[in-house]
This record gives sequence, C-alpha cells and structure tokens, in this order.
Amino acid sequence: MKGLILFILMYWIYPSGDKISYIGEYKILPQSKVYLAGTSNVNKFSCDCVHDFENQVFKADAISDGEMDFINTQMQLAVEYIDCKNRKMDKDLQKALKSDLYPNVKIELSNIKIRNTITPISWNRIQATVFITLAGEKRKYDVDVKAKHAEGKILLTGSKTLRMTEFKIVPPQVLFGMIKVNDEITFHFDLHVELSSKSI
Amino acid sequence: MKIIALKVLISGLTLLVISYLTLFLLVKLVPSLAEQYYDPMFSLEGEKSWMFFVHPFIISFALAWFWLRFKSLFKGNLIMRGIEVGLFYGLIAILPSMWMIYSAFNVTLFMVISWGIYGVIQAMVAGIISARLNP
Repeated sequence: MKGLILFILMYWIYPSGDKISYIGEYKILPQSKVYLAGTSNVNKFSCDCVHDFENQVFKADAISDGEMDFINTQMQLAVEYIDCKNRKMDKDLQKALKSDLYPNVKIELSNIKIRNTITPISWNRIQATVFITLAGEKRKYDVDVKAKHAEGKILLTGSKTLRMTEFKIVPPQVLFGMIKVNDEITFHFDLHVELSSKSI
Repeated sequence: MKIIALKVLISGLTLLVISYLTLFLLVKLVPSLAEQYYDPMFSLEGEKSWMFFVHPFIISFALAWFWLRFKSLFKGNLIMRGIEVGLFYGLIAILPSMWMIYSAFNVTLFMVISWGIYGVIQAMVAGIISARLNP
C-alpha cells in the first residue's frame, strides 16, 4: 500500500512513462493508522491494527504512462495486535482469522494506476491493485487511494470493504448465535510513509 | 414421585423455551444490553454452554420441592399462587444473590435488574405449573 506513495514520487521524476525500474526503501511511520471496522446485529466495532513497521526494500517497474507494477511491497499486520478494545472480541477475531496458523494479515501492493494529473500539493486519486491475505486465503482487490506529498512524507488514505466469507472465514457469533458479527468488514488506512528510491 | 418428575420436566421445558425467547427478544429489543454479553466474563460458547440449557430444570426441581413443602401458604387461583411463588422466590433468593453479584462483579445495574426480573418470571411460571399439576 505504501508503495503507492513511491509511485507518485517516481511519476514526478519520470512523468514520461518510460519503462524504468526503481529500487528503494520505504518506512511506514508510527503516526500511521490502520484499522478495521464492522458491525454486528447489536453494535458497531472498530479494531486498531497496532504495529511497528520496519524499513522495507521494494522494486517497481513503470510499465506505461501512469501505471506501475510493484514487487515486494507487502505490509504484514500481526493478528494478535489487532485491538478491538474488547478482549472477547479480540479473541474471537483471532480465532476467526486462525491466528495460530496464520499469524499475519498480509496486504501486498501489486500495481497502481494514476487517475488524474499528479499535483505535488493536493490529494491525488490512484487506483491500486492489492492482494489481501486473511486466514491463509489470498484475494485480489482494486482499491481507490488518495495520495499526497506533505512535509517530506507521502500520505496515503483510503478504505476497502471485504466480506469475511470471501476468505472462508465464519463471522463470529456469541450468545448461542443470537449476536452475530456481520459479514462485511472495512479496512481503513491512513499511512504516513518515508521513501527513498533510485532508478536502475 | 411421578408427579414431581412430570412437573420438573414440563416446567423445565417451558422455562427453557422462555429463556431462549428472552434471549431472542433481548437482542431485538434491548441491543445495548445484549452487547454487554460480548465480554470475556461470559463464556456461553465454551465447554460449559450445556449448563445454560440445564438451568431451567435445576430451577424447576428446586421449586417443585419448595412447592411440595409450602404450597399450603399460597392462596387464590393458580395464577395468583404462581405470581406469589415468583415474588416469594424473588425476595428470598434472587434479591440477595443479585445484590451480591452487583457488589462483587463488574456488571451494570441494568443487567442485574434484568436478571432479577427474568428470575422472578421464571419462578412465577414454575409456580403456575406447580399449582396446575399439584394443587
């Protein structure tokens, strides 16, 4: 997801869309926020994905004007650190996501397409293709992302609604099935990313 | 003995249906209260979940014995006798235990009151069945 950012940067440097490869390093800064929101038949809930991200190396290939493929831009969120502010809900979520077998939620950026003319100050619209892996099941999604360059960082914000059943996850139930978590959950992200890169 | 067993069975099954209906209505009508059951303090899905389904028979057995010993104290038609059993049970058994629960556990007053009302209604129903089957 963070790789989006880098695309913007690249695009400013090489707006022609020449087939150029880039290699670089990015870091998701601590002020970033990733959380998932959902509903049950009795309430709404929100779970923060608390995580310290390390520096990551990525590779990107500009494949056409306004489009770029990414390699090795994966964000992993530890399921055990997803905090729903309710210990029972945390445990039920860990159980539903089979955290003993699959301890991480994986979000992998595959491709981005710019949807408007990039401007350095205002928010820019980008369509990202990402692979999301939950409970060992990997699915492909297109995500609308807003990106912006500010104070030496890249800001990325957006959300994606998924269905748990698409990942063969049974939504948690309690009170003998009377309270049911609804199938749809939405991942929200608000990422602050530091980036360094060079063409190769 | 046979009548006691029959009473326990009929009363237990009736209370089981009522308890399940109560849960259903709780979620539909008072979702904020139902939400409070989404708490680590409650383990209604674990190994002990079967005990919830047995509790109406435990209450029915206890109240069947109580009825046998004290039924002469309750006067009037069967509805009135049942209501009186429920209120009696609520006063001597439910009120003190709910008081203790509220003082010692992290539960809301609303939840404790709902348990109290539920317990009294269970006892009233069991009382009416007792008065009907063993006047």
